[in-house]
Amino acid sequence: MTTDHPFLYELFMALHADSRWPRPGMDEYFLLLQLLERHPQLAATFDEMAFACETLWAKSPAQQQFFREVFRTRRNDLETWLAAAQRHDDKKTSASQKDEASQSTNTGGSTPPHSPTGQKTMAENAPPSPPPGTRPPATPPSTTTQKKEEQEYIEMSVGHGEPAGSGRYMPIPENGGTLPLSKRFFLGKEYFPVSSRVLQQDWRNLVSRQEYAGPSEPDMPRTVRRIATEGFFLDFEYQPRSSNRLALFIFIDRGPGMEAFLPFGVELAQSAVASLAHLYCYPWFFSELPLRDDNPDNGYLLTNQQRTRGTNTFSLFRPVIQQNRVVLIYSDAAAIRGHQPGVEEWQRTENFIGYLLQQTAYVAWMNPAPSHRWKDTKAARIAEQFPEIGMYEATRTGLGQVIDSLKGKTAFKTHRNQ
Amino acid sequence: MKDKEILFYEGARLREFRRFDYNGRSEELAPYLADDSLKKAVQHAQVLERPLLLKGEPGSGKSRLAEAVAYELFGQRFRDFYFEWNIKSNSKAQDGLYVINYLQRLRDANLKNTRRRNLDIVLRTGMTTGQYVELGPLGRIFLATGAEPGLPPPVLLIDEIDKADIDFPNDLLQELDRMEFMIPEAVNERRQPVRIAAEKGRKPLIIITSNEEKALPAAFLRRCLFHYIRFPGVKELRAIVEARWPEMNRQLIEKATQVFNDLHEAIGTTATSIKNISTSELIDWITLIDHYHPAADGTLSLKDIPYEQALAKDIETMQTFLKFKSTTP
Repeated sequence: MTTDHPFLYELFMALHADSRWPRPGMDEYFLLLQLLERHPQLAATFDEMAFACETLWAKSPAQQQFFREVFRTRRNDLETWLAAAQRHDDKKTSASQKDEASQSTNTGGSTPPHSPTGQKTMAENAPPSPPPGTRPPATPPSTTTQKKEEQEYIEMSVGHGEPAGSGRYMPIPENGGTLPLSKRFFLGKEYFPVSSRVLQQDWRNLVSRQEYAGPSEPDMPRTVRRIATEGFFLDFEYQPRSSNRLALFIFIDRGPGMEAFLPFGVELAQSAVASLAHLYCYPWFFSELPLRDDNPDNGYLLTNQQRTRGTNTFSLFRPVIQQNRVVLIYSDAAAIRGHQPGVEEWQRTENFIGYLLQQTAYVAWMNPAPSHRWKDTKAARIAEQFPEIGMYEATRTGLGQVIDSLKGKTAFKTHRNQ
Repeated sequence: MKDKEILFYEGARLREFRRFDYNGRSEELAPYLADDSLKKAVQHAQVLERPLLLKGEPGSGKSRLAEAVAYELFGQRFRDFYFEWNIKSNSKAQDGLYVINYLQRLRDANLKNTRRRNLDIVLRTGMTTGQYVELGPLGRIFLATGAEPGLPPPVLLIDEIDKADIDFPNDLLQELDRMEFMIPEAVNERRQPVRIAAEKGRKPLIIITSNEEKALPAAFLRRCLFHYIRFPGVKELRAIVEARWPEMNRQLIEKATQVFNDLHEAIGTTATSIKNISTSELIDWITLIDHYHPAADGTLSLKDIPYEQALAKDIETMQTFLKFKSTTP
């Protein structure tokens, strides 16, 4: 088995082009070559080679699964192509024999995209690649045979990263087998303005350590100071236990206009939960503005993401004392649609914000719309009339400001000055 | 180009219990049955001298692999060449390299008038502990690579790396890449800076396990080979139990492993519990069966085996198990 096999390169590029997980780097490709060079017997068969590629390139069970699918598809392609090439050879041989017999000449139409010349040597090593610039003819060929031949070929992209126009020509599997479709348009997390890892790290800065028990934890700095002062070690100095008592409530708008921004909102909440930094951390959803409960004491109504479970703010806030409740609202505040609120709508918004300010320690607002889109919308009005809650963009800087704001620092002033 | 001969892990030496005394210490190793894909993954790590990152359900045998590999490579002397670094939530990457005992030094400094001594932090060449300094597991394994040149490289287990802080794996990148580090605070016997490095061309085999509690950084993943240990099927489960209890009735083993496997699948399919039963729970369960029914044969009914405490760790699993009991003969 040769080490410069294009088949392997295509496999690697398929994995590399998918943005759903960390992309393998070139050094991982070279690792495979290194393995083949040092111990080729570890990848002597097709399946062993597949396993080696998988171990070296895939870094999670999901990525392994994807790799296997790609490998299977490519393997099918290779086998289908080899079978088709064989059939093509046979057909060509029999056709030329017939031609010779009838002494007829047929010069119309064009040759198939990859002519059988030299295919055998290619078939030993790689899937077919057409001569540069070769394309199937734009006009239909004149004879039935040529039509049939041409219908056997379609233009398709073989690598996930390849542009559609640079596709190679592959025979359509006769058994109706699946074609390797490009998955590069699948939504990933790559377009998020802040990566999940950064989100998780930043959430850990949102802490308010509070003592909750008697002195039971050794206080090393004080112990060392005492040793240094007294010149000998008698006993440890103790300090009360403390932990982060902050409860973070994330309210996410899933109303019209927020469809494209919802995944980042969910990521925001998931990363906060995954950071394990807070005593309670709840993501809840609403559409445009939360509805007031029939019983005013219950506050506002929120749902889970699937809208299968509802709750009210009273139940949410109840387990936590007021100074430990912080709320992050993730909503465009009609900035995406450029919508100016009516009197009644603004009144409801005011009531909601007023309620939150009364019930919680700090509130911050993250707006997925860029700040230049806020002008003349509800977003700008909220930012102006409620300076105590900051309105920030969904960017890395904005996230830092949100966290500062939720910690009670007046980050919004900096932002407003900008 | 083959650059050297490698003694590959074949998973052949620990297929049954091993009991032996070594250096006055009695050792008992339970059987470890690795499937072909796991063996291949270890072999790839041996060839490429890269850490092998293992993931899989709890109880699938991630942590025991390193010990099994060490036993295969070094036999009864494996403790000399096998190192463990069990990560905790407060572990720091620095702990794996070296630890300096500042408190001891401060105390000695305060007692200087009564007992004069050198307060320098000294680590002699080739030593794992010195004055006020001690090497961590990574430091010790780097030194061990130079111990006996004719032997395979030593084995290190970094267990449950995801327990540590999110930055922990990133802090190890350079050390895992270069297999060396400096101790700037310490000097050696010649008053020179201390450098701990793995022997050239004899990089240790590092096996890292993760339970996927936290995501690992891409830069770290790129430096590792990855293998997911899938949960064993009925045949493998049966082989595991047979290897541990060679005297036990085969029919009983077959019945018990089948029930266990069905229960595992049922919990996995219905997702009633956040934790599925694992191989270690099977072993506990069989231990109880073996203890209370030492002479049982295949006719023993599941209804007579009320040891769900060993299997079920929550009420949902217990209910599923009781349902199984009522429907299984």
